[in-house]
Amino acid sequence: MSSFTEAVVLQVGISVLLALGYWIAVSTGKYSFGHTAFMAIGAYTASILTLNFSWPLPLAMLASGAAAAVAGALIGWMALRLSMLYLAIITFIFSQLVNLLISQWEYVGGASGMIGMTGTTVPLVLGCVLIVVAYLVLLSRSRLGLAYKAIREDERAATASGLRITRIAVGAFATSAAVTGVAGALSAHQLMVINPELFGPRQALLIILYCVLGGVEYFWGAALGAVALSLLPIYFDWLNEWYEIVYGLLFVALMIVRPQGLIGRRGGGRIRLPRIPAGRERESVG
Amino acid sequence: MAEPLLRVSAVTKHFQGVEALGEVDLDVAEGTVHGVVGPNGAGKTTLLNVVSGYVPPDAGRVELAGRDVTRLTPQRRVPLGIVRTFQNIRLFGGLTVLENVLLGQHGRASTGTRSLWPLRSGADRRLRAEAEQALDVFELAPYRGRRAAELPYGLQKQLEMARALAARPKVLLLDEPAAGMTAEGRRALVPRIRELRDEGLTVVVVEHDMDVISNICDHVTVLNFGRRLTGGPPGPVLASNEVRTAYLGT
Amino acid sequence: MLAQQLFNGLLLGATFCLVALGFNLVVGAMDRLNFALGETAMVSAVLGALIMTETPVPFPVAFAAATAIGGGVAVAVYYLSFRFVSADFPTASILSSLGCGLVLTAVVTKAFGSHQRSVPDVLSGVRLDLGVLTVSGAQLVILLLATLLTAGLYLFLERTPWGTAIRAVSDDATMAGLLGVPVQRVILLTFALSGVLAGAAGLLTGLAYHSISPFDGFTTTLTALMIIVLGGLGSVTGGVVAALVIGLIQTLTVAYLSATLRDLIVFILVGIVLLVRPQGLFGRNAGVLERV
Repeated sequence: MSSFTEAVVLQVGISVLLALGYWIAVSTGKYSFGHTAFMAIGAYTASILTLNFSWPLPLAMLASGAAAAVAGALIGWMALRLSMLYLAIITFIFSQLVNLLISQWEYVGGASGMIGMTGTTVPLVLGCVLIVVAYLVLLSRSRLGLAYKAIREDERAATASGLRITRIAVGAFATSAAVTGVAGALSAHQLMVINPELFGPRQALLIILYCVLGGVEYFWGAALGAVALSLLPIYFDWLNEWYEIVYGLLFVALMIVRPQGLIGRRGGGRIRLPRIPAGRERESVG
Repeated sequence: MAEPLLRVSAVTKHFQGVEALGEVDLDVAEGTVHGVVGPNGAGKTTLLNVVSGYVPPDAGRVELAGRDVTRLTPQRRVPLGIVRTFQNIRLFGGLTVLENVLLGQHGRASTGTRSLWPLRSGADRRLRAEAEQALDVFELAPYRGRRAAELPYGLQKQLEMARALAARPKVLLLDEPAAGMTAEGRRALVPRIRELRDEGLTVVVVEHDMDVISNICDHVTVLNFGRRLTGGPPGPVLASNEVRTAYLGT
Repeated sequence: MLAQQLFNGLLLGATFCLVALGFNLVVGAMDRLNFALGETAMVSAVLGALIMTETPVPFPVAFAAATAIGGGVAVAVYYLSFRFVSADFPTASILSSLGCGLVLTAVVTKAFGSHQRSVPDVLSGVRLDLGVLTVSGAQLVILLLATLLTAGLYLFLERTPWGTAIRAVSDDATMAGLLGVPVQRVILLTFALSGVLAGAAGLLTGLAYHSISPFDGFTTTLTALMIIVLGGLGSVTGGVVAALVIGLIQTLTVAYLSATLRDLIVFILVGIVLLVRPQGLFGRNAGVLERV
């Protein structure tokens, strides 16, 4: 495999991991706007472990996943009890907090970041993708996956069936964070350089776009979106220059034309009732 | 009389100063069908909401088989055996009919990470078979792979009841099961609820249709302006003058 | 010294307040967040600063132009990210407006460069000496305009028919529609108003710091969101109080502790509020679901 092909495979593989990780949270209907925080946590955890404590990369990746999962569980527990808008705000703020902390922490190089991580190989990345895909295949035929779908579909109906919504959603969020953390670790050891700027709003939006472009109904839709969007800038050089504008406009157009993504049903099959603004719903009295 | 399975004592609830329920008592014996009737705004649905945990009462207690459940959230009451349906149907519209029933079994099945294991356990296979059976009973089998939102209204009501029963409730709370049903659907409802009672299920039903009420209930409680007006066997109670007055407002 | 810092903090808070009010207006009308509002402020500020440096027009004209630009951008964002985006997907508008924000920043950096741009001083000759504190001409302008806009918005919402319509839509859009309120036009109006507020805030903040960067939009959005969490989603009073509190905390931290702690302390405060009182200091219970 030429080094160019290898680089492409690595980059696409990591993007797919990011998309799949994000999809796990989205499969419960919970959109995070700060998944870069988990990516950053994973990247820095692994980099510290491999550089300063000479851990082997796979072991450091496990630690990354664990660290990100803990952070995910904490944020999920704070935010998932609240309405959708709060979830958006809290995850957004959290990613900025993480960014601020790493850019001020001298141990990890502050704003200039860390350098010299190596070791991401094609088998390692593809192995991770394979594990996550296997997990998602099992998930989609399990009762846990069904519970995720139920929460996405209708929280009140889920309550009526005895689903512990907050617990299930926090579990999904933590799993999602773990996968994102592992992807972050891989990405750090592929790029060999990390700094806080890599985990800024641009990356956050990119992860969401991977997932949303392909469609959030099936996980392979998210994977396809990631493949397409990470290949485009490699083969179209001018895209790197116009990246933000093109992707930003893609977002805007997509949300108008097909908010459910390119793959998937229109309208989510919801039972159509008159729309009631979120959080103001009341059961009828009497 | 033996200790009631469900006991509601002196429940009071205000909504922004308006009394929706005032010291309402309700004793439901095991294996009976208990009707809650009353004019619009009498507090029937609020009572159901208090029993199922959607509305915390300002005062009073809800007990299931002697256990105080007043402070429990709805999703914690489901595994204990209090399951409900809704006046305006709450199904998982985008999920299939079968998936809806499987979700009804949530509290009885292994639903954690262990459910990911590729080989399904014997217990899970039995539950799945039971779900298929429930579809047969409720005449939903032909639609098992269809999305719930695509079903006609009557079948959606059936599905909601099938899903509620899949939880194996001790007490099933039905909020206007006959509302919006065709005459045929209403007629089918009566033997179905009787059958459930004969199998030992306890049912609390809020309903406007007096035919349905008098045909299925062993006992009715009449609410008016959030207060318990009277109660007893359906025949005499519904015929009594004070109930007629409350309904007709004369 | 302390009095001076308190004053500076309140001044900063007053500019924050404008953007937070803009966010809350949109939340009220649509139950949606416009994540491009920070970038809207940035665009207005950059263009406002350009007008001030490149043309001889006096400051009030430049300021009016900045607010008009802000209103225009917000209306454009409304059409792109809200008007035609299906309400069945509650996050679609957030995503879309984030996309708009990205585009706005990129367009400004492409057109005018990514460097910091200095904002010329106004009323540089004026200096009020009040003993314990001195107020520069620019500060006076900021204080005056921020107060005027906030008070003006309050009066508009409380005293005019359009204001009443906005409040009606915030309270219950369906009911307001049934009663004959032109809901779509009212929503458009709230977006325009939020853009005007953001535009004003952008230029006034630039004036306070004497500079503006195309990447400020993001920070502005972030600060506004923290104010909203602190004050309570959709609460106007909460927004004003929280904005002043955050302005004070930031200024006092920089003055007495360290500049690097500035944002961290606000983050911690927001975190504590979320844990203890998730609906915010002045929030209705709206954000909290009945489960826990």
